[in-house]
Amino acid sequence: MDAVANTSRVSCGLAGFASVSLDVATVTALRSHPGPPCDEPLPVSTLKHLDEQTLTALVAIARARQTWQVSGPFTHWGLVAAPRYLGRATAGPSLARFFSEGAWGVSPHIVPHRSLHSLSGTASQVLHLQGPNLGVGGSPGCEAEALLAALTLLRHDSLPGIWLLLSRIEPELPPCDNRPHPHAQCQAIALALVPNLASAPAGQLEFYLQASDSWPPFSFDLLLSWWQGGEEPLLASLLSVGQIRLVKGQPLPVWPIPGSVPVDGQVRS
Amino acid sequence: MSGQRRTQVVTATSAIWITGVGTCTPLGSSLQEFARNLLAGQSAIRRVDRFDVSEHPSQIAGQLHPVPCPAEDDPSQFAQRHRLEQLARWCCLSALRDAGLEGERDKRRIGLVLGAGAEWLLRWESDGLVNWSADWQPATPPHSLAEIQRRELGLSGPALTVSAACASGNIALAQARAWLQMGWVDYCLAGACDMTVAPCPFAAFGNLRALSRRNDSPQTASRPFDRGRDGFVMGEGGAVFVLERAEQARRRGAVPLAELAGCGAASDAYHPVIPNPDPLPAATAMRRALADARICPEEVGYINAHATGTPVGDVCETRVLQTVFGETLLRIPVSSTKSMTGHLVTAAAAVEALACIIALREQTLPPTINLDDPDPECNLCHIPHQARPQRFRIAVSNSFGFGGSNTCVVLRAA
Repeated sequence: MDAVANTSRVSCGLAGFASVSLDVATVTALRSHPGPPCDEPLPVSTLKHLDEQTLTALVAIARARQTWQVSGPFTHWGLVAAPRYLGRATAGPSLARFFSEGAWGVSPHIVPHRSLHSLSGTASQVLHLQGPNLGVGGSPGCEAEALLAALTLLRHDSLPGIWLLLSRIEPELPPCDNRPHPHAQCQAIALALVPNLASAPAGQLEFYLQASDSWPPFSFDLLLSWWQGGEEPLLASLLSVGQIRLVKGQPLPVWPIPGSVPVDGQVRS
Repeated sequence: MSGQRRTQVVTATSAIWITGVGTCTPLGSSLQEFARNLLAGQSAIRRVDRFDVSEHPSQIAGQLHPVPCPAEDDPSQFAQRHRLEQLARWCCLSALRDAGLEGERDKRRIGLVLGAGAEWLLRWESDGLVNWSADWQPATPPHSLAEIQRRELGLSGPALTVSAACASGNIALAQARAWLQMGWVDYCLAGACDMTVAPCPFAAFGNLRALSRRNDSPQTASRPFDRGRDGFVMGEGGAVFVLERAEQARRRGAVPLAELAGCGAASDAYHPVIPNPDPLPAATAMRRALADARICPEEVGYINAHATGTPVGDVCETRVLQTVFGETLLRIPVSSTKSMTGHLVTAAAAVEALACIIALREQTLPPTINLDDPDPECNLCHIPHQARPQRFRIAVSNSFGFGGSNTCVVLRAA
């Protein structure tokens, strides 16, 4: 008999949740104003090189923290981030510069700021988080991959919490002028997952190790519409491993909450 | 010895074994070829010849020869695939075959965790270089490299793409091990692949001033811990392992390559590129891995260091090792196999885990070549120039990455 832990069911709490949708111009403006996510503002030299999805995800973290009073320190937390097609807007201009200027024209910032690990690495720095940080997926459907990775870390590594960040450009229109298409929105969802249900006002999540085709696949859109909808639980399948059930906690507080720092631009829950 | 007693208990209850491997590296595209060249102290570093590097700051790398076509594939169709896809397919199929699971793919829950940090950038660049026009746009294919492998190999378990930059392979191994220990899969493929020796990423790393510029002497350019080091040398390749629970492997008569005994990870929270001068976060990753393996630092018989050959990084890692091992450190042999393979970036951790497995199986420690003049700030028990025989049971492999990711895995003879 194998010594396999009884982990066919994983329960965790949702200590915080926020979704943001910002137009490209608003995200661009964030480069010169670090905004609320940073306990200590990031240097502008770093901010100006961050991808739009990274900036949007930092706003989502800030909003989740403020709305649900998710307080640090996050020293021992982990962080899983799933950006979609990160760096797509700068791929064309990078190649154009390579063709026109040669090797010396290629920006060194591609590596730290346009790779799958970039969002998770930057967010861990902003949150002063010293648990594991990793990027997951990178393409449509990567939200399910990211949730599975987060649940794995939370359950197996006994972390006190996990920030799960999902981001995308929607719709995925052709980029222009080194940025996402001006008619597109930069969207991000931040979830603070904790093992302790008592400290999870935003909701609860249960994972069952039982594959099923009965429920739709977990995705960015599914999560967003559930959060914006009524009080019904969200039932979804998670890759080919199992199913999840998400239940909302206390009613969503009115935004902005007193004393919070306003977020510029179009922000919706 | 108490360590031996603990080892037996862990192995009897919850050990995860590595029972198969597929690899393709600049030093060889099979376990045997890679092992032979690694232990012979061969350098795989050459002048890059796949594209014009005359204007690049660094012009040398550990390039892959063409990725071998798997026996079950049509060579002309295989040639149509992106090189990264060829690499992943070769490694996954070779690993399944090595583990004796070729016929089991549709009968068992086989998962896949693949480290791949720049998949989309590489695909976009390949397409753009061939089809460039003023209105060229990067495509948005629906499936990732890992998902393509899952579908084509008929794997019924989950497939993940993960990235912690140069630590990706260790992150993949840790996720796969956790899935097995929690009973979420029966087997898991885990590893990492990278093909970053391509025009734009090669230029980007060069412009980051991270790469060696010893262009006139490729084979001596990668010199971790040496006083004359001037940056790392890029490499490409990958390694994918089959992991399974030891009890299951015993039942089916599988031969273990090694036990994946422990994994640890921690973040610097310091800078996107520069390692934290405070050794504590990386030391935490190592301590977590040792605790996970239930061993004391004194039980470690070999350390495969991350040591890329950058002036700052190698000194930082030395301080990390001093923090974890204290005075014992000077008795534990340390080497950096990047001196021979180059730095395989996203795939580095997976290939270096394989180097540890080879060391355990052959009871021979791979060297740090080009270590002519050890940096006094890297005061370690080096293995310069030549491999050396050593009786030992436990190896650890460090991998640190951009984004502040620090990881460590512990491998034990099984």
